[in-house]
Amino acid sequence: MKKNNLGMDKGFHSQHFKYFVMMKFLILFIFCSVVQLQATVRAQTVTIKQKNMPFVKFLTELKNQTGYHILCKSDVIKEVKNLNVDLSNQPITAALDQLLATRNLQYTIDQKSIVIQRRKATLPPDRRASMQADVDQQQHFSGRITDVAGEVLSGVSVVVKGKSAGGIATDDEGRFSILAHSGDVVVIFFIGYKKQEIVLGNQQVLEIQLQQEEKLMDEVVVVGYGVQKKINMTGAVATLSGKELESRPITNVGRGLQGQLPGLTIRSQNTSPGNAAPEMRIRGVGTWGDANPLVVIDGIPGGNLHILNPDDIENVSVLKDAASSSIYGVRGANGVILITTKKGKTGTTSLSFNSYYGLQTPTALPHFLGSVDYMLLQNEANRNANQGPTYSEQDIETARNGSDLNYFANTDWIDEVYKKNAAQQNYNLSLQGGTDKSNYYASYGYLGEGGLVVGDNFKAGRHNARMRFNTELIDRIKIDANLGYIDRGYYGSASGTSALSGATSIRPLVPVKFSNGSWGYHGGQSNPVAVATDGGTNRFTSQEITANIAATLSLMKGFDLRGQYGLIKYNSKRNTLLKTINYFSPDDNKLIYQTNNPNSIKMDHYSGTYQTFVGTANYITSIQDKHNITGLLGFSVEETVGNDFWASRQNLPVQELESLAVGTDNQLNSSSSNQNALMSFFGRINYDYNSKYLLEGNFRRDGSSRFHKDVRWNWFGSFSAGWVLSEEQFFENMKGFWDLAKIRFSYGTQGNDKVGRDFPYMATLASVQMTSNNPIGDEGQVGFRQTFIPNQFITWESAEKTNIGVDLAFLKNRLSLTGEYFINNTNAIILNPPLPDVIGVGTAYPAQNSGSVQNKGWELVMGWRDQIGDVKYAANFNLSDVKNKITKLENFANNLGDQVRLEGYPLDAFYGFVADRIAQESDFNIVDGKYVPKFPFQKGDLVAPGDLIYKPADADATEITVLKDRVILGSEIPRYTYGFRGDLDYKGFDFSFFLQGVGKADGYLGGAARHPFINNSAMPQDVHLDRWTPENTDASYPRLVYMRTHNTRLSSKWIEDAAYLRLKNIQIGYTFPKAMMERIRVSKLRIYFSADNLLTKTNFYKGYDPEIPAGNTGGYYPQVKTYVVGLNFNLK
Amino acid sequence: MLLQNYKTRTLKMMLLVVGLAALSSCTKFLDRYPQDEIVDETYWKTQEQLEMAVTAIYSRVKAKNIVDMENLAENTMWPTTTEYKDIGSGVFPVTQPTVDAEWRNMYRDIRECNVFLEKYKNAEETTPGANEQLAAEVRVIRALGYSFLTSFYGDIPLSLVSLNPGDPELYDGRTAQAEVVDFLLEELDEAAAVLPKAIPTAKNLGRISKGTALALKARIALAYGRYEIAEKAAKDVMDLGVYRLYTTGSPKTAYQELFTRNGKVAMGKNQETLFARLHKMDIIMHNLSREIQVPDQFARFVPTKSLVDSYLASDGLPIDKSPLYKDDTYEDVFKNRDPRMTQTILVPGDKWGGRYDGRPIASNPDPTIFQVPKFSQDGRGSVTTTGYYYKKYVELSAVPNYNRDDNDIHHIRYAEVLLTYAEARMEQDKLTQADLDISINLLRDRVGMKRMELSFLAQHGMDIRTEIRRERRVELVLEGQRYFDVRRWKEGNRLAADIEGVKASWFPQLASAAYRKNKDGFLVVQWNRAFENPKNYLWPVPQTQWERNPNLGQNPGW
Repeated sequence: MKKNNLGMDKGFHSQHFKYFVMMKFLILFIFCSVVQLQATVRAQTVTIKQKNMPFVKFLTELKNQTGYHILCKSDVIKEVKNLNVDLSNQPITAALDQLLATRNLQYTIDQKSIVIQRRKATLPPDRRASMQADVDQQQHFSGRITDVAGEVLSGVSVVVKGKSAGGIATDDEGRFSILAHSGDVVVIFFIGYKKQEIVLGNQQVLEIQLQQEEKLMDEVVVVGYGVQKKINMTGAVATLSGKELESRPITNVGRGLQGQLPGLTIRSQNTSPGNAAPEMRIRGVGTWGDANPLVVIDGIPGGNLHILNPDDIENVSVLKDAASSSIYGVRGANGVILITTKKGKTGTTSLSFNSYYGLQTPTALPHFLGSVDYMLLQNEANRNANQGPTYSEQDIETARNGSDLNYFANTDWIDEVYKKNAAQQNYNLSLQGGTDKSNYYASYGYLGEGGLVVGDNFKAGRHNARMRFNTELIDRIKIDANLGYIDRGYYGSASGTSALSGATSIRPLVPVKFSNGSWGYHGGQSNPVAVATDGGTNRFTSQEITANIAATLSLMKGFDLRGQYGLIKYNSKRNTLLKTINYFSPDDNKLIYQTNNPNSIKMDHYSGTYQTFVGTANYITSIQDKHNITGLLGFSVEETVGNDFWASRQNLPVQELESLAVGTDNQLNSSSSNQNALMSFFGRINYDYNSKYLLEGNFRRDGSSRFHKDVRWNWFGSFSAGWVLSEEQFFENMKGFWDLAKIRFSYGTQGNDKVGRDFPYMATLASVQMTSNNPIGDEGQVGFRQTFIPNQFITWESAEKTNIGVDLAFLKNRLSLTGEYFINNTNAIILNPPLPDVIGVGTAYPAQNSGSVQNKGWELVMGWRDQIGDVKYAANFNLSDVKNKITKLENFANNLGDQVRLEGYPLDAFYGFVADRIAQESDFNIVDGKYVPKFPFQKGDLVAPGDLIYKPADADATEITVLKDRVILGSEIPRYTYGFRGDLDYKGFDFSFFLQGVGKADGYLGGAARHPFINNSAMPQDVHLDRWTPENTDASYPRLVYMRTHNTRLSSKWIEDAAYLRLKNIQIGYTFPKAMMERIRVSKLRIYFSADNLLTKTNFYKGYDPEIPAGNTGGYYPQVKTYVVGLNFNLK
Repeated sequence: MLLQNYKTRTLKMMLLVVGLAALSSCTKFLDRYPQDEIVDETYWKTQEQLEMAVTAIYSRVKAKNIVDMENLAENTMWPTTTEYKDIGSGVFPVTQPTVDAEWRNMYRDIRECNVFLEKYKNAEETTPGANEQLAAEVRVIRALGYSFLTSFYGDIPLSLVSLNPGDPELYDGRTAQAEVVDFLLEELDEAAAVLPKAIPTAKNLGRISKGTALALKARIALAYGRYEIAEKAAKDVMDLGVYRLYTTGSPKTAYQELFTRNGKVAMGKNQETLFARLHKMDIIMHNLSREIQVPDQFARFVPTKSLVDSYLASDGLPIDKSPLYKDDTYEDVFKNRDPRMTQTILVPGDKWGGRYDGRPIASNPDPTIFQVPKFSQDGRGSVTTTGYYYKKYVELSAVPNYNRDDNDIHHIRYAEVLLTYAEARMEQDKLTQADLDISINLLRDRVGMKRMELSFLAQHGMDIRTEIRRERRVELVLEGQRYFDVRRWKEGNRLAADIEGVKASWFPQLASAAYRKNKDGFLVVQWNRAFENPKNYLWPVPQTQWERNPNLGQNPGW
């Protein structure tokens, strides 16, 4: 640098502009549009965070934030390596000191500008001499610095303690070399990492690993329409990094989230391949209507998180309270799940390949009795029902001696229908990188799931491709384009899960195949192996595109405009080919039965388009360095349109072609459509004083096409506040032991517009297909009828949420604690009050907004993270509880089934009798040869010894009635859901486990899953051998009575304990040493073993998984354990 | 500065434009209409629209379910299902789902009729009078629904307009049965006045006509002791001159064939059926034939000893009086009987769809022929609990396949009208031989049964009432009428009797102690039945209905 240039430092004026350019100075500036602000914002703080940030970019950002012009020679800029910058609210001088010190640069600040230049050697002459002497005794120490994962760190400062000069930074390969005395202390520091001090000894080549700094509250959290620093948050948000989903054999993101996020309860419902979308509830069940949370993927609401590739996920935020989610207005009442996908990082291009392969096995399967036991019990059940026997003694003997394996076989159908295991495989390839202004991320993933059912019909495959591109135009427009493509399919049996229920309901007497090779068939007994193998297929394929593009325009400092267009489009197809199965008699080879005759093909096409435009304006400012204000105003429109149609034909001359064209008879078709639209205005304002006192307000005004004009628009809003105690003076002394204390409070309102129909306020007529009409004139006829009674006052359900939270950190931030307490009241819930049926709507009772539900609960998260020597470990525990209660039902008569809605009790609580014990002979008088109970019983029941005695509500009652004597027996809503995660790392080995469970829940199995002989498809299981008989009076199961319900109706006897503890995942991995891998130019290679659902501890009814939906009768694809081996492979 | 001002202005303009555009398009953007359903206000404008609404209403009329209701009484025994059987056997709780479902579904159907009747008037007609005619059809269907309701539950809410939530009428008490009956009779009269006399054909085939309305009126009047009205209504049908009993020219098959594919209304030969739920191959089918002779499990409708015994011997005498009747063997039972018996109940030697019968396979060369009843549930053939099988209503070609039966389900036949006429005359003490000759004896002539002669009855000490009731039982068996008849005749104790079957001594395999027998050695299939008077003459008001509207009250004994 020439001296005369320095002279310009002091007097930078606009007339000098050209001159400086000519002097090869690169001048960076950005318009500061609001002139009057310049005075106040000067000398403010800066917040810049980015790894591997080009120096020029850093300077630009500095300029943007401070308003200073910055002058720096271009050759100086070129010399400086990319920086890792982590500045939050740092005064500008401190920021510059920190970043420039080790780079041999110095700076000067003038009124309006900062000049950066090379540091001049200014040591006084005497010092120089002594230094020279020092140097003589000094040795060269060199080494390499990496992070925990073995990634090299460049630009790390290495300074000899006590020496003001001579610090250097590591090069591109993380290497450094320094002159020092043995015994000197070298201080190594790097932003975002823990400072390390090393005493130099004899070893002259050092391998140093830096550990990332745990700045707990510096984390940035994705919130609605933006991001926010965790320390400044006043709402209740749970977050998860995509890392927590890594290397787990999860087929669906939802299931991967189970147990990980307090307040988000996940229950596996349908678990068959490709279909395994679990039920997700945030902070309990807020409505008996649609209680699904809103899912927002990359800013676009309404996506399907279950079909995302878990590997594409950068992070997940669950917005639980009103403060965080009321900005989603009419759709936030059930909470919001925000998913952000990965984007490219500036710097080197990297390629990563992750893959696993493994096997699934069922967690639990029921066990049924063999033929002889079945026949004996069937006859016993008939006799107990005053009915003649089903099997003669000779029949039973035939089964016993196995002399007629066609009609008296002994088949274990569970064994025949389920395979021992099924394969699961996954491949993911991603490429990412970027330059100063643009970066990209591209990925492809494939997931293949085999099925556990014979016949190879149950399986699924999914291809996910994703491309994200970010760039910056003319320094003030940022473009973020995101394109996702999913091609998925699952295959099932044409008869759905009938093979599964068939396995639990077919008599053991039926052989899989007759002796003549035909599939075995007995009357009314659908052969599940035949159905699964030859009964036809149900192939679902779907192509889904999610695209969004956002442009952010920086209009002026702190003021951005952002527009985002989002599109979700799906095209799905389902081909259902019902094949005829012919069953031939083993006696005369005659055709004795056909299923699906004639054969048929049905093709369903489903398509839908969702479009949205979101426009937002953001403003950030800071007054006097202390008053930080952020404002957001937004507008959005959304539209969903769906169009489905189907066509079918019968009589295909060949059964192998899935084509309508092959069908010859009975051509039918129909279509259906739906649409709805939403328009919204919303805004948010945040204020914080020195990150100490926090305030936030949100509002939203929504209009929904689902409601009548008069009730279409409504306001929603929230208010929240926080106080970071640990920022106060009085807290200073406790730092180190107690590092963080923060309390927050929020209150607000939200809505739920998913009220079931698109047009609940409009009277409509729907068509009645000719397959149910009288064929007047001997021709199929289509009819029209009103199917429901509209209500033009129907509007959204509205939720009112209050939250109090505490965040604490102790012991140098190693221990963190978060606690929440909340009360959510959902009001105006759509109620279809069961009216007297004289109204004549079948069971489709007219809707009205009248119910209320309350969810009250708490959440606790505890984290610990530390390192002892080479052993790094971490543990994370979360526990939450929610108490659900119906608070208002408008006194409408209740629908008193097995699961009821009663004020003061949880939603869909189990409702039934209290079973006292099993009646013995002594509990009866015998009158005219008939048993007359001495205890109260329900009129019309055929009560005899061995039946259940129910307790009447009134001890003196002479009769049990459904009206008076049923009580709430429990609830299936899980209580005390918890997760516990442990991680351990030691020299390349990593081990983690994840336990998940439910502390309290009730369940029950319906129908044939639990009770034999209640119909002709209810088979006895081994536990039923212990039924009451005159000889076995101390039985666990009452006497068997064919087709009678008086023992099997819901009572306390049949409520099962559905609590469980699961080893949800366990993982052991090994990462090959860096040095070894570098020889083959691989930046990372890890191999691992991972298992999901390995162990389950539960007292639930044997043979079924505790997560089985309440009342399930057996047609349930089993929950699976999955074991895989996999590898992660990175190239840079 | 200039630049800045410009920018601010632009920004302001942009915001303004976006804001205005957004606000002005608000309402339009959110105005959406259903794409796959018709908005009610735009419907009810044309005759064609009315016709399609009526089509949907026709689909609400009971179909095969009317035959299932036969299990309410003692003619048949469905061993493997419970609800109707339990109601019939008197052992069922007030919470029984069927008791509630019949109420709920029937009122659902009635609402649909009420909606139609409120809306049809202003539609444009392409055929003059068509709208009123459609309305009359709907009124008959509504009356049919109400006739079931009042028969099951006695007094019932009588709702003639479509009710909405909040209407106080929802919580009204019940209308007395007599009043309901008055209304129905009047309603059917009015409908009959509008409906055409001729049996509907061509594109109207299957529609309700004048005869249907009058026959239903006759049935209802008879059920509630309005004999004079019943007689007149029945006679009115007879006098229409458009109906005649179905015949094939051979008395041996005439009766049976009526209940097969040949007897379908659409086949053009049937002028006996006044109203049926029509079916059509591949479009709308049921499973009745298969259920009756299901070839691999328990047959669902099996005749009971009580039914078998009720057929007269061919000499016109009951079996306990006739010298022609013997019961030494199973085959004996079928000999020398009212020919309708062997056209209703499967006779050894008959073709059947039940596959392997009770004989060992080795001695059964042709499983298409029935010889011996099967009691063992070995999966090879149709099993009977009583030892008997039906053949009425069986279309043999429909037995092998599930739900491939396209037989019509007959609701009202001319035969019933004739029986009603005879019974109504008899109950008024007006019955003459001439009456019998234009009613019951037409039925007997069709099958070649000895005619009913008043003098013969007197001569053999046979009670005319018993005989007319017997005639009705054997003629209408398996058509869902029996339970209604038993109750209106106050013969409830019949329902309390054990359900019995064949004599155990006819078949060696029944010797086992596992099979219960009565003192005469007949198989007891179901025991511990009950019938309380008056309780079981009516169903209870369903528990749920009673909970929702306590004003309904409850029936005696429940």
